[in-house]
Amino acid sequence: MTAQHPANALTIVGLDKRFGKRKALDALTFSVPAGSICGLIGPNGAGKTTTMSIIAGFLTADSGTVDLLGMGPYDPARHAGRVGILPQDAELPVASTPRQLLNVWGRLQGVPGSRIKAVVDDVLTLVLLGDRADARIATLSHGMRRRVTVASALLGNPDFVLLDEPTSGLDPAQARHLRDALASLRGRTTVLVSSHNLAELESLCDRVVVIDHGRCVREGSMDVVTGSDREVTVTLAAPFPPGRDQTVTLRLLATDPRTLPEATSDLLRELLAEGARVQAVQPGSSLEARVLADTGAAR
Amino acid sequence: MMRPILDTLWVAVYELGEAVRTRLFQLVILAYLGGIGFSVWLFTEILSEAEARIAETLMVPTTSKPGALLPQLLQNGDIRDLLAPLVGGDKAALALLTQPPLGLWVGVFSMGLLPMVLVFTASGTVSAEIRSRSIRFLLVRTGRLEIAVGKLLGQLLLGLVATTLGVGLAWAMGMYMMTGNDPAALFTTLATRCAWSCVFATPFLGLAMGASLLLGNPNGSRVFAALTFCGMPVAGAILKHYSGPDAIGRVCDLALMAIPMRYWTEFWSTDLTVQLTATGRSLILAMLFFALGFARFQRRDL
Repeated sequence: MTAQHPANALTIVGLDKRFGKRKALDALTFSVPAGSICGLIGPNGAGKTTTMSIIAGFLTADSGTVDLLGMGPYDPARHAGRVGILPQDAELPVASTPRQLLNVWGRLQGVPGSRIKAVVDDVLTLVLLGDRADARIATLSHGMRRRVTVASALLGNPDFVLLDEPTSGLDPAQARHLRDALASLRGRTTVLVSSHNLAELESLCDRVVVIDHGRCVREGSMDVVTGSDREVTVTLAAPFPPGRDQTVTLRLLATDPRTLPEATSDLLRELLAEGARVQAVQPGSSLEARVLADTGAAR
Repeated sequence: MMRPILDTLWVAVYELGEAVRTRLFQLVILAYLGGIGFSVWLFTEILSEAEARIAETLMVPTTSKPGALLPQLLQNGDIRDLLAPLVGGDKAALALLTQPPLGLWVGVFSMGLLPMVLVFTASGTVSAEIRSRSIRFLLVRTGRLEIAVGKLLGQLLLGLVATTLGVGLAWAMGMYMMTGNDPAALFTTLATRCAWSCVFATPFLGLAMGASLLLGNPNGSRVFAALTFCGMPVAGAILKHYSGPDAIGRVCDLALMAIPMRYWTEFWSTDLTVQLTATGRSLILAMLFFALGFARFQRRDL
């Protein structure tokens, strides 16, 4: 492993953070493999934003270590330009235009003057703001401002991107466009994204970290966390078996994930042969169901 | 090595651009220029009245624009008397009056106004960004020192923009409203005096930036800076009262060095050494105030 290409783009070990008497993070430990898109999930107050803020160097941890891109904790001298962040609740300076802001931020990230215009144009096009690039931020809608902040996070193709609620305030079409844009980064850029929209994360992320009360309660690939690698739920339309007027749900559990496709095929074949009408085949459980189970649905 | 310097300059450009585009800054600049314009108008009014008096005594007709009888006013000491309390006494005023009086008069106003302008604009610059968290957009791109120094530099540039505009306005008004002004001499005096006012204002800028770095609440930092600014002359007077050869007096003498207003008269000296000493002390004070705020900013959660 070298500093340039660590296996994990982010490794967090034993992170503690208190705000007064409240413990926001409690020995938080997890890692994010390089090139993955990782969802950071948890209920309100679980510590997601605090974690992101510590990774980005906005907050100082009371104890524990953060290793970002194999170069230790965030340090502008080492990481500037290699880390992009979308802070959840940071307000944009309203007097400037998106282009003016991105120009200066890009230069601060080390984008050369000869490339800055092209880099800014690219990222503004990516977030569908090319036509409002020279409008004052004050005149932009909430969703447009959100897209400016997304553009700032993706500016200059950073190696690691932290996104806190990136689609908050975006309309469905814009949210989908952004998800597609983020998905296109897979393999090139490591993305750590926090969102309450679990369906969105389930479709976007290949890895998940679930935190609750400042602790990591589940961590792994999306397949493992949702159980889609070893579990299939088959829903049969009524009436089946004959005489039963309610839908039937069957759960197929495989002890070895490699046998699951074949076992599923066999089960479906038998059911169809018996005259069953298959309504749905769902690999694993939904991410939402897993997270609610991990963090407590009553919260 | 070059990266922190470049980052600092980019932050300064960002600060300058953002400030120039805000209505608050535009109002403050207008207020400063209004003050400078008022000072020129006031000078011409005083001059008109004094010249009318002299014209009456000499039984000569008055001119439509003041300035024609300026040599007589200089000779009889009227202008000296006007300037003396503002520049540290008769001797200092007399030594200065080889330069156009309007330039000196505007210089006095600039020295009084610029610190107020800078305290007002700079005391909320970082704290407002801490409150709105927009500082995070910078923090992920450069270091805290670069941000703080860049913003200080940006505010200093704002001061320079304001004084440059002030010099232009005062020169144009002086040339239009008065007669007998040597354009080059007036411009040189205005530019020199306004440049000294910038130097005099640096500790106040350091104070305002220090407050802005110290407190995460823009209203709090503005009030803190304003109260400190207003309290300094009072503190200076008390310290001066108790200064003396005994131990307490010496401590008071030492503490007096931290009151930037005490260097006012030194900037009006015609001795360059005295002016440079005052410059050095003002810059040290500016750095001290700034460093006190930065020590907190460096460690705080943002």
